Amino acid sequence: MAIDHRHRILIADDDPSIRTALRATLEAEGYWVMDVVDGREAIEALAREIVDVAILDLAMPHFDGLEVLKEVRRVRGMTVPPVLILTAYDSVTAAMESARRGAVDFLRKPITPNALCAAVRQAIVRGGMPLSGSGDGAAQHSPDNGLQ
Amino acid sequence: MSGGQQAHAVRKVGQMLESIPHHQPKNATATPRAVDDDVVCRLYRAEDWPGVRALFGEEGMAIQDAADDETHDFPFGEGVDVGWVALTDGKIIGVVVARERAGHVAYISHLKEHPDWKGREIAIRLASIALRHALEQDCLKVVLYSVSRTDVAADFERAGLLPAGGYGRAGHKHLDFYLDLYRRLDRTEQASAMPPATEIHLHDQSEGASPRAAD
Repeated sequence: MAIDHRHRILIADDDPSIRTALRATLEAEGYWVMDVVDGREAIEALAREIVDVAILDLAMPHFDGLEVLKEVRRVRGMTVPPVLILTAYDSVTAAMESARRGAVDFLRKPITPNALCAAVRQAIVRGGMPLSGSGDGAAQHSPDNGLQ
Repeated sequence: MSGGQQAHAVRKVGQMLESIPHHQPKNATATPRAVDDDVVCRLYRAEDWPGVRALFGEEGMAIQDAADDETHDFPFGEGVDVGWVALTDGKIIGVVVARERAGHVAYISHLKEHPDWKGREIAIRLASIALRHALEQDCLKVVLYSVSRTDVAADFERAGLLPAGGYGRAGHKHLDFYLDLYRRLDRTEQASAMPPATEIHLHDQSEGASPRAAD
């Protein structure tokens, strides 16, 4: 039986078009991708599956992305995979809270495929470690045309 | 007090708070304003996120206590929020967020200063900026989520706010402050020659004067 050595990415977003676009982009890069539709499924998936990076939408039914991060951290402690928060909200509070809760990146929709892949690569390389100083992020932290 | 009188009172307080050091002017652009020899406070930008994340460091790993859960008292996307960062040599050493909601209420949260910069009043400076912004938006109530920052709470009181205990929707403790309009009106009308309460606390502290002189 062949072992799949590909990095495993979890996508949690209630918008099917987003899930489809993110999945297509990441699979084209060679990642193994699974997706779920809300925060509850994300918590279950993170408890059940081993993933290298989780991409969590901020606003989802049942649990939002930050609640998922909090719950998984409560259950798994330090063994939480790197979490990227993805959001359409232009909210400073959400950005700060994502940083405070230990997300490794804060991505704004729409995001280009290049920015998405760069953020995932960075997350895999750095693991759960925070990005260093200002302007050091691989992902772009401003909106641009790309995946809706 | 009628709505017009209330608005007038708020404007008066706003005028008094003009002298808060290191604030960003209303409708400020991202133009930095020097607050110290080597510290600059300016509006938060999206590209600051990695620096803010580094400032919070691994704190996120330890956040499991519901009492520290600040922001789920209100849904994301509700209200208007604005943030400020303090920088030195391009490194973010402090942050604060002010969120305005309907009903003339402002929430000040995510107040954080770098541990290496404690004693430089970075947090107080940032909180003063957020407070001034809230008052410029005619907020009559200010909620401070950083309950452990007693120095900031004291600073708010010196600026003429009345403290009151408060709890958020999820039962988390925070500090509520109300604008003392009657006290402010009385003071502004009888003693225009007096320096505003907020004029003293930062500069004069550094020069050894009493920060409570205005009270």
